[in-house]
Amino acid sequence: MDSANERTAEEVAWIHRIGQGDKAALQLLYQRYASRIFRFVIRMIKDEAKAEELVNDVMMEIWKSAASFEGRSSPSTWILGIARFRTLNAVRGKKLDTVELSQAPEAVDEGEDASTGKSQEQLRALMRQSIARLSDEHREVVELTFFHDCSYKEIAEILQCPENTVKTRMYHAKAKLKPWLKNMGLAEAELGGVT
Amino acid sequence: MTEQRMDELLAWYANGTLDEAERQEVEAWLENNPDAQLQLAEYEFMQQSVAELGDDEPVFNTEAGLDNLMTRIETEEAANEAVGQQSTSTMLERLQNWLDETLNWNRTPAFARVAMVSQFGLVLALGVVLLLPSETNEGYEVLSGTTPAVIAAGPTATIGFNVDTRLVELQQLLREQQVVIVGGPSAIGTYQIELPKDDLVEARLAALKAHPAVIYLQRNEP
Repeated sequence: MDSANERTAEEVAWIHRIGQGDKAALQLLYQRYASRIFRFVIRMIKDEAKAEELVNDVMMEIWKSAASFEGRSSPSTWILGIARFRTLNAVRGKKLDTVELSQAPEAVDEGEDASTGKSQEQLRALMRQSIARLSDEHREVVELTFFHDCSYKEIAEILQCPENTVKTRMYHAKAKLKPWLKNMGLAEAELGGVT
Repeated sequence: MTEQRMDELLAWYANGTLDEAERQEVEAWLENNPDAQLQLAEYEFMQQSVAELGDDEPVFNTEAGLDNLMTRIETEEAANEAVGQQSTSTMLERLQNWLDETLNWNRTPAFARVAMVSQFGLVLALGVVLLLPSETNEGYEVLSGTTPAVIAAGPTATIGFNVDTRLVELQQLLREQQVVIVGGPSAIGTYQIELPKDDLVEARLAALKAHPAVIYLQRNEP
């Protein structure tokens, strides 16, 4: 069994224990997931206090519904699915602001070589700003793929959409980021040895 | 496999979540394909950027959050326990208080208490008997619409009689047409009659309608 499978098996065992009222197991799951949930939520809404509240709402729901977890999806898919559902409900119910394009940080000028005189760290920060300017549905797929390490099948489950939609969203997200990627100096000549 | 399909899979090749077959396909496509390798490098750069926490991003305080959650769970559990205890004790307490206040129950002699409880039991039993649904099947519905409709054996009709009709005259008419009163009178004085289930239904209805004792006749829908 590889480490990812071991991790999943461990989480499934925790969830079963939580279903039996084991608070120690809930604490273990919390320590593993709370930051991830927070990160997922805060990138959908811009209200830090509300995001913290939503993390505990999600964990509370896990505490109450763990007994009904049947393991048909992985724990991370289940948990992020709850987080997304809760966040969308909060956005709809309380009219919370999502991160709008107009409010996202300015992206680099497409006509200028953004890599000039910038460190890798600064370039990555610029990349994050560019991703923040994507639409919700494109940003979500990018985040779930690269921050939460979800497979496209898991993302389809979390977003409750077909797998092809997930792939298409990623394709379009990448296409929209292409000018920035190009400007950040990721030119073919500089990528020697990439496999 | 098309270029677009491969490009679509590349992001998940980068994050290591493709299954073995897909991974091998992508690797074959990447080999000696500088464009594809550039695409992969771009995805890897996206991955590094997204995985990193920006300086301006808030950090979640796990310990404080966990404390809040445990407090919330304990508060909810305590509230649930209190509600559970209250719901069982409150009913008894309320009944006892009511008895004390209205009947001076504590000062009532024991024999009187037994008598009162017996009476209360009797009233309760009678109430239950009265409220139980009747087992009588009724194949009609009164005009007021309050009687539940039950299927009757033969055709039925609603009939109204002249108030001046003598009983003997009425009995004769009903016997002649072999009609039975199965219900009524309704709020407006009509009755439900059942006719024999034979070929003479229309003729019997015509005869009833023509009789001076009958002022209203309407066959019920089957």
